[in-house]
Amino acid sequence: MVEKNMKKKGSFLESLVMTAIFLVLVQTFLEDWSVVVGWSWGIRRILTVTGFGFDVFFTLEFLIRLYFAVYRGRVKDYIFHERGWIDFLASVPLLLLNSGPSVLTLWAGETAAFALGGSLNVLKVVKAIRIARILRLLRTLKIFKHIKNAESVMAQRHVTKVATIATSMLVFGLFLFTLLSAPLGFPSAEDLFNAEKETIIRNIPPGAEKNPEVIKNYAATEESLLLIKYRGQTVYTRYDNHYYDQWYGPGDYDYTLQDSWEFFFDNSQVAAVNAKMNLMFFFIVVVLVLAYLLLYGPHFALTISDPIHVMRRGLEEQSYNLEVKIPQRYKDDDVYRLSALYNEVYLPLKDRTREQDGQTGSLDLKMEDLGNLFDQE
Amino acid sequence: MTPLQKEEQILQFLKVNAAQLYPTLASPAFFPGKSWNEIISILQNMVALNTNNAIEPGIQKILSENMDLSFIQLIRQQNMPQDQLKKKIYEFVSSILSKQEARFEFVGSYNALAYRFVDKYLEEIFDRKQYTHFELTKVQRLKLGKDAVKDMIRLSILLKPAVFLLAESQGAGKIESGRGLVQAAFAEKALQVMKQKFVVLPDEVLASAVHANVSFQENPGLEATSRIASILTSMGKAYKPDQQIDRGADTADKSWLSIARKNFRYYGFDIKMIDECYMIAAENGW
Repeated sequence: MVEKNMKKKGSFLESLVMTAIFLVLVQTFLEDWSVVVGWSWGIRRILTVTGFGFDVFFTLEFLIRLYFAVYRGRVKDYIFHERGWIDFLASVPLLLLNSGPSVLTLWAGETAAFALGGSLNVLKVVKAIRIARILRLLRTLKIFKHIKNAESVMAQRHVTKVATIATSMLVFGLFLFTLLSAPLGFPSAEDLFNAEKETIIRNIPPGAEKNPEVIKNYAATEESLLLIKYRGQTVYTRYDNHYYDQWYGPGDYDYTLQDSWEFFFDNSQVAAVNAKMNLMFFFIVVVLVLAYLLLYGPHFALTISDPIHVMRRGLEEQSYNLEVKIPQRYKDDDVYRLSALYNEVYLPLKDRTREQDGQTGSLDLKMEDLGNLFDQE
Repeated sequence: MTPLQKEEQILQFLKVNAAQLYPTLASPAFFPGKSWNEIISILQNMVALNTNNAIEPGIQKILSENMDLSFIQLIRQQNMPQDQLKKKIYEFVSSILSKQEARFEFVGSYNALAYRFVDKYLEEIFDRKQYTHFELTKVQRLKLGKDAVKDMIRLSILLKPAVFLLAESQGAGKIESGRGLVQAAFAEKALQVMKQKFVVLPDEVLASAVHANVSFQENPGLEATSRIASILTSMGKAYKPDQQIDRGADTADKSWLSIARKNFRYYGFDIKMIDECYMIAAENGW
């Protein structure tokens, strides 16, 4: 009874995790999609917080699994053979480097963000977050852990292994490329935007501080300029405060302090470029995973696990006499050459032996099948 | 599995596991003080009773709904009304079921008829007009329509195990266990006995039924109806109505016929008929 309850709870938790995996994939897509299509800050804030919630959930899941692995002395098995490393990479680093800092920035609000911008280099933080975001793609691999192929453990393991290697290598490749793009001298969208900002600041007309009209006319021609302050006083704003509240969050603008000037730049175009890249990576990974699940999985079943399953049953069960179906185009595969022997030699021999054996040959019923039928009270 | 197949499994199981089962079955909760032979006899009777209850409606249905005996009139003058004739056949089949060896052989007949193998294959055979059709119409020279030929084959299948009723008790010789074949000489003796016992049926029908137990390798002059009845009955013996076809496996009929192609000498099948049935099964996805 206790075991049954445990199983029930375990099954419920596995279903919960599976649901969370599907939902987090939707959330991953929407978080970037919302930036590309320019959804309001309110919606994007909800998505950011939701992402944080998922990362907390998956971090807890990882820690609980790790706890039980430690408890059972199977840490190595869990980490390396039961794909605990994916559980780890798809949770803890994301919480610490991606959703955690994002939510902290949200909670701290604009002031803190600017203060942070003053003391640290905001762009470095943003870059770290952006790089870590790529690891979110590893979440797709968690699906494999929960999709069970009841008919063949081998098929499940092989498809999962190949998909994991391909997907994780792709994600790590992207991760490394993003990490090394700056040292290698590849300009990122941020770098180009920084250069643009510097140019804008450098080209402020001389004497603009004395003539507000000059700065207004200049700012109006630079689309990325949102707001300019001089000695704490707003000298130009592209939109009113209500508009900023509705459409701009902490990561949507950049702040630069130059002498007595304060510049607020619209960062949404850079964010959109990065989000598009993320979406592209996301689609590549999703397509890759789906291809393994929907194309390679059935191919593996057709050419490896199904014929083996049929032959195993034929060898195990006396009265099982179905032949392996041999597709012409694969007939030279080792598995199908073995299947041909099974069809041509083993089954006819088994059939004759069974008939010669007469009494016991076709018996499929075993003592174990009776269970406790003859148990006496 | 069908009831007869279940019975076969149970009886084989009891025999194989006698040593393990006897202490439990001889205990006070079951059959205290009885010998193993007594116990097995009781169980065998009980199982047979249950099986009979399960299959009797099926046999009645086969006779009443799936079999038209009017073809007999086309073979010879027969005044007995069909209902009466069917009643006699039913009684005869019941007597077949009273003997254990015949019961086991009846598995194939029952399945082949209950699951309409004759309809499936004969329809195709008559559509194709190839080897089997030629054998039926030109070699055996059956002057019967398609439906009448089907009925004759059905009746042959139903009466095929009758040969096991007459076996050793009639001093006719031995039956080859396992393959279910009888030697041609034995079949002739059995046929003579059946002719005396079953005067209401034409000799052609009885010969077709009895010869369905003879190897085609041993007697290449066998009636085509016997050869096809032999194949369909053997197929019925291995047939599992509720069998799920695994992914990656061939269909049940095709698999069975493919194995039969390789073992045709052993079972005494007509290889050309087997080949034709194999093609039919393959093309129809059976």
